[in-house]
Amino acid sequence: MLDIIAIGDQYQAVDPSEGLVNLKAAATEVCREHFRRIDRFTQMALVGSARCVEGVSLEPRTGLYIGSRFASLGNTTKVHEKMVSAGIVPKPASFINTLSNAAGYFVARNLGLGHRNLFVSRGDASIVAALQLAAMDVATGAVSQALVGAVEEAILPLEHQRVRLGLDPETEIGEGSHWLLVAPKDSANSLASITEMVTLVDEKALAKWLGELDSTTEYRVSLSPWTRQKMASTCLKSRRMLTDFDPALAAYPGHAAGALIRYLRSGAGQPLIVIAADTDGRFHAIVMRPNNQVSA
Amino acid sequence: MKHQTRPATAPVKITASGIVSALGNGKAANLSGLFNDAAGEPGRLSLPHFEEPIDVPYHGVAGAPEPAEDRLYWLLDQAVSELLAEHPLTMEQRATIPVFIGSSCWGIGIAEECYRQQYREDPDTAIPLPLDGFSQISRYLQKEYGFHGADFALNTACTATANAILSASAAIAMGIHEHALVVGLEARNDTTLAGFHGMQLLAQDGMRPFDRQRDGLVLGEGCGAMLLSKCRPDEAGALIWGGASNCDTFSISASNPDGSTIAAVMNDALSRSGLAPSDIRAIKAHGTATPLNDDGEAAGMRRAFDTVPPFFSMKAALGHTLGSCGLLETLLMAAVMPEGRLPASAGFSEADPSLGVAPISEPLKAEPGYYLLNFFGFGGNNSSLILRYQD
Repeated sequence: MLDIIAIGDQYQAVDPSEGLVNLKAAATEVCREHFRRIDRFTQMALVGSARCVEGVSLEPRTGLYIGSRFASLGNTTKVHEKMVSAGIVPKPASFINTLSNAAGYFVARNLGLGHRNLFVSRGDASIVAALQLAAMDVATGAVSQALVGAVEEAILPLEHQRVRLGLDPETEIGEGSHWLLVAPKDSANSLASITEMVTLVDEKALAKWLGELDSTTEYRVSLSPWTRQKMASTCLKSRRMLTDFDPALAAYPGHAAGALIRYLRSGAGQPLIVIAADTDGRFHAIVMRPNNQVSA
Repeated sequence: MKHQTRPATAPVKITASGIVSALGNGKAANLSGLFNDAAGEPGRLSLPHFEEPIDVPYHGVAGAPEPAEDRLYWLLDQAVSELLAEHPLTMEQRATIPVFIGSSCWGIGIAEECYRQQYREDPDTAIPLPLDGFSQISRYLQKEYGFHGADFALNTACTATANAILSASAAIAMGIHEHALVVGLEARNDTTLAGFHGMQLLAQDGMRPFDRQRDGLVLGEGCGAMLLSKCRPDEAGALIWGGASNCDTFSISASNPDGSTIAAVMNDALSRSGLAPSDIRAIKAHGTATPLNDDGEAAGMRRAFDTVPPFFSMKAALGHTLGSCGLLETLLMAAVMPEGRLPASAGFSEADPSLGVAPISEPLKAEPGYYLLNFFGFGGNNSSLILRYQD
């Protein structure tokens, strides 16, 4: 389906006593020019994408795909706070930054990408949607390779963020910008292959899909805290060829993408299944098979 | 690009569709409105929640409920029910069909109302953006209609549904799916209206795309649904023959005025469709009536075509429906073809010599053949689709 040929990211757990990490310096470091009036979501996208393709020569027909549950959450909530509390009309730069594809524009400009450029959302499975779009475009020749990112920004207060994410009180919250450069199957320098991406209508369908996996292969499985909350049955525990992989990430909608990258960096060789639940009872899964070890 | 080559993608057929817009509810009402000279006058909308009085022209949908959540679902119901009446899908089919949705507003209007209500009750505990706006449309399509397949909530501003059509076509071309559902929706909300007002992009009254007196755009709302299906290339009817999209990094809010990137996306769409510029019978322009957009599009057409084909914009009749315009305008383009005529470019009366081109001012006979449809958006996103119609 797709080969992963480069990875890179930016991640932190949020310590509310410290506030949100200031990303201005990190963004400045990776940008070819000074971008004025960009928001924190765009800064995260710029940092993660630049780290992914550092030292890589991108092909001219490289597509760009950003998946996110909320897009520019910090900027959009500020716009709404001013609009609702004081009746203030959004300033042009703030309004432009509420557009979900603003970050994609700046990443494209920073990396010199002028080809297909999409933003897509599907809750905590937004990375699955982005990779599926990339796979379609690679398969039909619309793009020769694809830079695919999951960008999820946290905002304070965390009690509000937990309500938005449907998480239990006190759940540790994170944020991250996780990127994969993917190319057609059997590419040179492949780190891993994505061999399957599926949407399953409910947990029964998930159990059936897991039941059809090769039972002689040892798989690792990663679930986000949200997915663990949504998964009621023992469909994982009853299958002995599935063992847990804990990427040691806090809760945020980009957890699935972070797990893919943490797993490749772990050097583990078994196939990894990442399962992300959405808010409608469905499950979205990716199967990734590492090809080469990645240095941490 | 002068050489005809083999198409890079397989065509897909527009099997069924449904639409509700400011022109009316259903395809027949929309076609009637599109060809009616009296149509196209926007209403006025006053936004009561701002510190300064805001009164804007607007192409609203008549009969839509006022509460944001009800309005969103009502718009969806009108479009999806027309589609399903035209081509019923079994629940088994609906459960697996991939769903490609394009919008600029998503659930933002619902989030505004929720937050405003919470703020009235207790400003200290009110949560801005208390819900996941992107999931609202997909969730409703799942619950009410059983569309449980993989969903793609695309937002690339005004190209969102043009890109959704391209991705849906690719999903079918991969051979995994026989059908794909594409939905475009734009519903009235304060964030968008105030945002465009703040950017000073709104016209004083009506839109005049490519006209010397053009002074900006008028926003609109609507919803369209389109069922795309695998087909043979020689099938009759309206086929999405191909297309392309790119990203112009000249400016986040305007295309390069020299037209180079717009010409590039049109050329790419033609090339991927195995067509030469001379194969195009007419162009459905993006045509937003903002000075910069029309300048860039006119320059792009002049670059891509030795002789620019007849072209027109629909937006003065429909309003600029932002993320849904790709679907609404493609759907209407497919719907006008069996009528045998293309509409005059709404809102146009006086040519602008600085553009070097002018749209059609009278309806034009529509022959079978290939048509180019342009869509451009904030964030530098450009998309061109090729539609082929055959009796």
